[in-house]
Amino acid sequence: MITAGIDCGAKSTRAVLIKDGVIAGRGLVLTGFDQVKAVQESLEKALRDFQIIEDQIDRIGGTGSGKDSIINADIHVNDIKAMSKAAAFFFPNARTVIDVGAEEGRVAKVDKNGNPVDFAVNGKCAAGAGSFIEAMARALEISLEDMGKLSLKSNKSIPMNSQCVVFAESEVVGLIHAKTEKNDICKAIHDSMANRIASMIRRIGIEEDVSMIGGVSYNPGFLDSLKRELHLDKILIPEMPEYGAAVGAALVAGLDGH
Amino acid sequence: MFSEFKKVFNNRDNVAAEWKKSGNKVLGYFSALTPEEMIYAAGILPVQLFTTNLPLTETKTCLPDFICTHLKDCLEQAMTGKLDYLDGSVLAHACEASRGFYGVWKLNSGMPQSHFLQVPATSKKTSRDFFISELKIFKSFLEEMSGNEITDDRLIHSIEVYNENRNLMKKLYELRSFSDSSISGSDIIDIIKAGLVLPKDEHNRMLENIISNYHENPDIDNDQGDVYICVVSNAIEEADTVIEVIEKCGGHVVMDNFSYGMRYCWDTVESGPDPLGSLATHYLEKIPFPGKFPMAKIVDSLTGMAEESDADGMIWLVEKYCDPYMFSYPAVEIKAKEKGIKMMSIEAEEVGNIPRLQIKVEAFMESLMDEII
Amino acid sequence: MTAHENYIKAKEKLLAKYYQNYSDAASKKKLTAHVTGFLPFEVLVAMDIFPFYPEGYATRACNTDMGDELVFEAEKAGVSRDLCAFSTCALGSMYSDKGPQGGMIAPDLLISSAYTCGAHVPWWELMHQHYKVPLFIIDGPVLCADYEERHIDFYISQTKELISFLEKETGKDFDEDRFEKVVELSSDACEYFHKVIELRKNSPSPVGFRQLFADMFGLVNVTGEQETLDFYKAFYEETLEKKENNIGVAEHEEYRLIWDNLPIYHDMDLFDYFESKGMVFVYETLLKEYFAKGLDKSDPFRGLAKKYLTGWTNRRLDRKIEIVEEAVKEYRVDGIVVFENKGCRGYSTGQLDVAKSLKEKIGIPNMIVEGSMADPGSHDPNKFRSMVDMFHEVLKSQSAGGR
Repeated sequence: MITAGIDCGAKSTRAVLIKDGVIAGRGLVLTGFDQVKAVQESLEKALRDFQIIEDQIDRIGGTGSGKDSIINADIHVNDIKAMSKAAAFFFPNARTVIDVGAEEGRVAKVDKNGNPVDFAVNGKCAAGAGSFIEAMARALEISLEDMGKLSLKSNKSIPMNSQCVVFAESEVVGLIHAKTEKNDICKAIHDSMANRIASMIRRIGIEEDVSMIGGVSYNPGFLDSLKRELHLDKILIPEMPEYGAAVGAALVAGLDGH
Repeated sequence: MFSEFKKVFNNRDNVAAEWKKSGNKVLGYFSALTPEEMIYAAGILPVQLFTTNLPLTETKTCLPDFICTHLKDCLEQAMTGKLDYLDGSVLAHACEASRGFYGVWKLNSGMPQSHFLQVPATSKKTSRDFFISELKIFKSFLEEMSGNEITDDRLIHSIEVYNENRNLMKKLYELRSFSDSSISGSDIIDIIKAGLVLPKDEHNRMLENIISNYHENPDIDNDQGDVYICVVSNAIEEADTVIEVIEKCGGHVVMDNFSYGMRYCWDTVESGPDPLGSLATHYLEKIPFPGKFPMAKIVDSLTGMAEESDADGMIWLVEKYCDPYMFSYPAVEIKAKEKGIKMMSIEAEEVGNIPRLQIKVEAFMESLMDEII
Repeated sequence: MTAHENYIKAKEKLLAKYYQNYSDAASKKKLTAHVTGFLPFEVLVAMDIFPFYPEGYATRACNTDMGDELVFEAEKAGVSRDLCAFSTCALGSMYSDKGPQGGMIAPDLLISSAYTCGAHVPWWELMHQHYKVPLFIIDGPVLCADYEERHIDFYISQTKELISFLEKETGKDFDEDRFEKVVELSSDACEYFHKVIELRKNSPSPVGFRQLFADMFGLVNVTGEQETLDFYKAFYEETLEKKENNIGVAEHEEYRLIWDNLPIYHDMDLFDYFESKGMVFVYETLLKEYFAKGLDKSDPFRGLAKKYLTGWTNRRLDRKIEIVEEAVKEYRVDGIVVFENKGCRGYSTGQLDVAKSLKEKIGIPNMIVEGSMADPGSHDPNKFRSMVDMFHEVLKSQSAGGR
């Protein structure tokens, strides 16, 4: 059986194809204004990647904040369910899963079947989500990639306690003006975001193994801060973590079809 | 001359440790409505709990985001073992958040003993009587904790020490008000802060020392332009930064009003045969406290003091989510406007970004200059 | 007449009574006092004074989509939107003369209380500054503990002072017989409301969140009238009939939940959304711990004191935990929704410990979400609904796991 999973997010839309429990194709496009178009394009990319046509897909699962735009979906999969199933797929021993997307950070506790048994989502504020790091990178005039790398070079702790992203941004600007080293600012940003994610995890109670999906998983600076904050040696990250939720949606679509 | 005070404050853990060496207890308190005199009379060192800007981690599992930094930071300190030197704590009711907070504090802070002191909202007779009954219970709490009886004589002595402190502080403020004063606005803050962690008699000795050695310093160029500013704040931790910025922008801080500071020292506690009654009167009636009735008292006191000190503008520096101050703001603003005093509000959270703060303060001062001209 | 017809009829009469009182007040046949929630209204009614609730007015402003505009007006006057969200709505209306029914009715008297919420006193002071009419404050013990005799005594002294104040302002003597009658009517109505709430122990629950919050209107706005008692009796009988016929508020009741905090007055549809997913609220700390309480009629002054000093915010935290744990058992609850309400700091402080204890001790899952009861600007309805979906998944996994 071939199932597709599409995750339509605020920033990008991702599609995966799964054949008999193996990921067989992937496609990613920027979402832009037209979500329906982005959904179709991401799917077409994945189809080209696997070299099949749409008719060969048995079922489609859709997830993400734009899931209503996935008009060809057979099933809409809740975000928490998608991330939980994905974690269990990649790492059967994962009991805590983190998904940090552009606009929202989420954490869930999962049982051995990959069902969510507890969850937390960050408030309305964006300071616990990927777009915050991006905005800060722009303020520092560096790439996202550099941000992670520079952060690892710092061993200074600068606390940022601002309640909301507006104040946090202002604090960062303050640090820039105060001629603080870029390394240290990068670390302060990652620390503050890790603090937000970690406090959500603490609310649900941490249980190992801990895994993480979503694009922010590429950021070694953030991971370093998060590990320190949670006193963890390792956080499990799948290959191409940005497709995590899409994989979960495809899995649920497959389960549902049986 | 004033660096001593700063040093004392920064090493406040040592002050407490020193005190404890002789077997005496240390009690942390949250609010300016706490009758410290009673604590001191029990032979316990009262220590004000300050915001320390810790990264908040543990507290996030038990408090929502929209609670003021002061309460959150204190709980974080407790939960991360930074207040282990305290033998107990007292929370005097100052706002709605503090009431809900008390349960959370009791459950999570690990404090060996905690006490919640009710402070009525009004000072009518029935309320005052009730407050006295509350003070009596607080007294038993302190006696049990210290093993010392708080006799009337001890209490009267303690009130005398505290009154002396208030008088000395008032004197300092007078010296400060001279235009060629060598005491800056931020010096005052260092002095106040030291007083909140030291035994009061020691603080008194230090104050006597600087007052007797005080001399005007014509060489000091305070660059105190024509703009007179008063600062009202519940965030003494951030106030020194703001005052420095004001002074850097050519302002002269002619008056302050913190929970401690002028408001705290302006009136002395009445001395007499009924010390508990005098304390009840003092804390209910004499200290104008935002959030307590009548609001007119704090409004008149703030605008009156600003007027007397010829202030052109008032900077209102308040911690985010502080209900009593936020409620007072519109009332103070109406009255200040009547008296021709302009107001600007700054949230304590904004103080992290000094360049932006400076732009804001400069703009405010320029608007005041336009009016002066 | 069926129980339902009787309920409708009684409701009409209740509303008619309210509007009669309101128009008497508006035409100055009666004095109007702006009062805070949860004070001894019985005294006012006995003195023939119309109690008007700025807090209730704020909820009406939200129901009619005026919340945003009023919060904006409040901010213009220097009132921070971080304050109690009822106060920002009502003060916005006061400063701008906007709002439902063409703005708030003007008060002849202001009566505030200090023991239920710390915002009440300064908020009423701002009204005092604006309206320039006499203000009386019922001071009271600010409890976060069990009450003691001295607290009761203090409260009674405040009630008596209130009576003297009203006697002075109205020039009328306090009529003890009338007062006792009002207390009786008020208490009996609350008892019926309590019985309605208890019927939710049944599965399926016969009455829902929205109806209860709409129908508590009479308890606070039309205190101590015969029409009020008749209405709550009819409400009880109607609900009882539903229970006996096994009619549930949701089509398929799957999960039984606790709502902790005030409702979200500008997004009441949210509660329909819960029900559409089979997630039914069967217990709210607000309804149970404030309004569904009768009182000791043989000693009205003590009775009032005991009732009004045991509101939810007056409880010590460990007692709150016990109360909610008991509710979980009695109402067979599957989960708790913790609404971290930016608009009410007092209610929101301590909630997390209650939820934590439920989870650790008896395995009750929770959903924690931040928003505001009366400030649409700090609320994201879509996000809220997506969290409801997530919580639904969690409940499903939990029940599959055979908790």
